[in-house]
Amino acid sequence: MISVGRGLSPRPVAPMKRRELLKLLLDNSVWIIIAIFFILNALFTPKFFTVLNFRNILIHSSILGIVVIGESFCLLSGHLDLSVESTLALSAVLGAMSVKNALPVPLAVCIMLASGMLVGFANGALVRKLGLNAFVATLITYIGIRGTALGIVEGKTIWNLPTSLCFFGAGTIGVFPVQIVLLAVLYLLFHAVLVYTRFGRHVYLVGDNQTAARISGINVDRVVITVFMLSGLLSAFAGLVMAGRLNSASPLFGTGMVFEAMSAAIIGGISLRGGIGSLSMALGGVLLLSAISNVLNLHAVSPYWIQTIRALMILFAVALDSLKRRLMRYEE
Amino acid sequence: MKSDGVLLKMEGICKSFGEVRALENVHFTLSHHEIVGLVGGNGAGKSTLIKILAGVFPPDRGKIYLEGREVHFKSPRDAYEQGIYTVHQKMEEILAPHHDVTANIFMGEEKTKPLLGGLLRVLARREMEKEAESVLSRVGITIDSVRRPIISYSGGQRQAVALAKALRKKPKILVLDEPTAALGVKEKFQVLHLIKRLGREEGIPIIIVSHNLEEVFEIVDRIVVLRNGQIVGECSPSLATKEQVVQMIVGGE
Repeated sequence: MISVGRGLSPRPVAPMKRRELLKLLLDNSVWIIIAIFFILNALFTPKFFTVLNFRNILIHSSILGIVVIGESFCLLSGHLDLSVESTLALSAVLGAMSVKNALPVPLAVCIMLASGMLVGFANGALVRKLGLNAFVATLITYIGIRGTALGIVEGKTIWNLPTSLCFFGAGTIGVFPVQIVLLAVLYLLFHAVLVYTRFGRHVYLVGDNQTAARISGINVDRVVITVFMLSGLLSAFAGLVMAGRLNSASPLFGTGMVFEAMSAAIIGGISLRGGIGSLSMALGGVLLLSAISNVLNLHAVSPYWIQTIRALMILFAVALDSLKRRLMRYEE
Repeated sequence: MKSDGVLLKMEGICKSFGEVRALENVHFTLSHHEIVGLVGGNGAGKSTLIKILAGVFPPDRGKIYLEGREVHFKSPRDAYEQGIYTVHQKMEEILAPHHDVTANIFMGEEKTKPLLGGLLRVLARREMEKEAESVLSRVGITIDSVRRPIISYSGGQRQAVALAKALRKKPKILVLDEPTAALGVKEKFQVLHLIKRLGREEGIPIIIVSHNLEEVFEIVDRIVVLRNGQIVGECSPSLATKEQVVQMIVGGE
């Protein structure tokens, strides 16, 4: 009798090893590209390889980076969140209105963060309880929340916020700008959540195969709603940082940012189909986008071209993604 | 618990879809340690019967008893929690393709360990890997690494992982819907042996739905034949011939 044990035995190991190495490289391709990009520019772009310029790149990355964390959670769970930028603007406007109406700063911050979670909850509920497609659900909030932000202040920008409210966007801890510290802390924190907790695992599993996750006892509703609330919370927090950095709050904050956030995540290697990717990839995407616009600035290239370059990079990233999938698949 | 008592009893099950009567007054039982093959032509009612058992939809009439208690399955999830583990044609549909074998076997029931004196709980990766390996070897599946994603394994290996996942849950009843339909010849053979082993050595009661009489004759204890929504015959594969079973399936005379 042929034993099943032998029947389902491993295939030759050597080619697998090589494939795994290649996959590892492809998984981290964004960091390899960043390394090459930085070396080239250190050589050929004056003023690029300076502490001050790196500080600029990181500060430029911070707000987008925070939004991208939330967007990445959504993408990993197989959904997408268009409403991030509107949530950001609403949060900034609400915070500014709160302090202008003599509410204490901590309360204003709570209101801002709560508004983000509420928008996230609405997104999650529209998707899971009403059964709307995530694109449609977050398109509704994308438009509606931007409208709400515009309506609250009648399209006007509010200037001169209290210094304490500006701490996250303009303060420093020692020599480090708070924004950069925040970027590092939040990425480490949420990376740990994704990799080491059950919730993080469930986010991936729901993105990879929602039916299987449901049958296996994962509460898909709860995971998806939590993911959207997290995305809203982080976007609202990004609104706080942006208001602080610019010492103002405008209902037009973050216009078009959702496309930047999604490009960063995709360029980093997070799959739009869900279940594949990591926060380190997303961070790589954010830093690469920031570094490119920084270099274009240093070379005094018209900023209008950056969108063209970003499009080419997305194309490249998507091609890499499908190559990666092909490598992982079983072959006879 | 009696080792030979009736585990599952379905009594007077009826189900219609509009004008179509899919099942009419079906009585079906399953004993402990029994492998039953459910056979019949297209539209005979096989899949309707197991979908009722899997909680996909309720019967119009009839009762289901599990271990002597009457049960109602509100959803597939509900049936699953009560110990009925159903895997459809492509077992791999219950797997997450880009996750490794361990993550799939423990899906929804990940083990955690305390961190910082119980303040946080983190995934116990090592422990889960060890247990995954032991479940796999218990059913006689050796795959080269529990850390590789499902997508890098062949169809038969995926089925084996799905079965290992089922086994870890210690189901009361394993329902397999055309488990080998999507496989090549060699892998079909391997998966059949695996199923036989689960039934014989692990003592898991199995209901297997199949078109393929060849494989049904090889692994089951009892064959139940459905035709036009009714049970038209039962036999033991050791006492009947394939011709007789075919006769029952097609009817006539």
